[in-house]
Amino acid sequence: MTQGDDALLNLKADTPSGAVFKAKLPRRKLGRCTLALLILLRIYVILAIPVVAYAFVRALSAH
Amino acid sequence: MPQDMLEFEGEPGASGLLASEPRLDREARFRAQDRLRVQQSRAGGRWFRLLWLLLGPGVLAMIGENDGPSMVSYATTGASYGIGFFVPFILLTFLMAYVVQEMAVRLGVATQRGHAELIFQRFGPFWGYFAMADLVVGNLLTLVTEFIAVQAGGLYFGLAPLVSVGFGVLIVAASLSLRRYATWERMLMVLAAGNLVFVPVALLAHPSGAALVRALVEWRPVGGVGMGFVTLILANIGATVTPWMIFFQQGAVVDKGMTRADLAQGRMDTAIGAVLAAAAGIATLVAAAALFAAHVDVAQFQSGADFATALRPLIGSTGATLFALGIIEAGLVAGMTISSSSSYALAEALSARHSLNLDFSQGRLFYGAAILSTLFAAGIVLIPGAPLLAITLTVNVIATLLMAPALLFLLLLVNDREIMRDLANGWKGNLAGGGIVIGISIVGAVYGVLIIFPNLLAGL
Repeated sequence: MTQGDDALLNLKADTPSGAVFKAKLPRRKLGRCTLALLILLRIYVILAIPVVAYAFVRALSAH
Repeated sequence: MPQDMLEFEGEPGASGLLASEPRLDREARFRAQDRLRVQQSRAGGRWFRLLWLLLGPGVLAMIGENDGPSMVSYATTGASYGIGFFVPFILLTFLMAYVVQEMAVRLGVATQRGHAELIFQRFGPFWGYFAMADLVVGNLLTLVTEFIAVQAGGLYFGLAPLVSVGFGVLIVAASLSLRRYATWERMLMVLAAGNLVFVPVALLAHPSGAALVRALVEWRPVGGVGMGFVTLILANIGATVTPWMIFFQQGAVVDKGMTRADLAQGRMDTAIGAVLAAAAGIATLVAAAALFAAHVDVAQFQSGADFATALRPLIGSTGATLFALGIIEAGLVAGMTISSSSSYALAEALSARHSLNLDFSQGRLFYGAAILSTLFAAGIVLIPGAPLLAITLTVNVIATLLMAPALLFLLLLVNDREIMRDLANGWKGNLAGGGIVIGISIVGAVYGVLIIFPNLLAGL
């Protein structure tokens, strides 16, 4: 093993594939406000889908 | 350092190092080599080299977002309204993009995890699959529009769609076959430099310097505020900040091996990317403003190729050719960055290995996601009679709508002190980020209302 190889092995611990980064992070407990915001924006996206579908069909008929 | 160590191209076990240290596989070795170069540059005080080594994710995310539909959107803006209002407005949208992407860089260096990985681990699979569904749908549709841009640019040069789209697929596949993040990134940066081709195109349009300065100082709409004006404002915002950029830049920061020590360079990378992308966007607008001055009606234009054709008598065939080449380049670079963004996110969500340093055998899912999404997008474009214009319009809407939930996840993560520690958002970051979430949500809602009620702003 060369001196350069040693340097590479030392650096390995600092890289994302190092063991320290492989441990799964604990699940975060979501507060009421956070949950409400996430649900609100999800509803926003779900409501928007028919609008987008309508726009697509209208654009198709114009085509 | 021995040169042969840096030039390693063999398989695991092919060198003395790997024989003695079996845990250091091909991917880890490449990343460690990259880190060593960075540390040596930092230790030697070679700051320009350090910046050069760490440049990439930010520049590629920003220029990648200057994609086919975005360039067409800037051109439509210039041709419809001139430079009056939109030159400063584009600067503002890229400032917004910097705020968002800087958070993605911080998340990447602080957690060493990709964006999808963090959402799944911190919020659980329920929210994780929602975020993934948003990204996959948005990315697939956007990828289709990139191949529409490649096809449109090819049409200007008389190429059959099969030839231009096939060429695009080959370029994306060739980039993935490099199996080395650093080489992939540098190759893409060379290609991305082609985005600046719109600058000479703008110069060929002989813009008035005084008019540009006046636009920046006065910043007022030209021709009044109507539905077309509002729609272009929304389209330009949607053309600057999209969910794939967050997933891509964070994934690339991690794949590049950037750490907390590299944050300053990561921020500079993002800022340089924003400046270059804004310059290209403004140049496209200025070039197309020649059509506004000549009173050319662009309402019936179908693609970037139509702009190139219309510009030819005004700026010459060189400028028009460069414009068409720029549209192809925009589609190709975005095709590569968007497909890799899907790969990072999908592999992270399924806990598969995710890196552009992987061999095909190690990264079947990672590379498979990019290749399949590319083939899907190319296939859609090649369907005879496919409603390409309708798809492009729909994709712009979807990108705007999906941005708000993506930004909320980003803000929640970047405020998570357990994972961010000292790199968590401050109040200024939250004010800017929160303002962008609210602004984009309102923009999306207005866009939706205008689609249903197109005459709502008639008479304004």
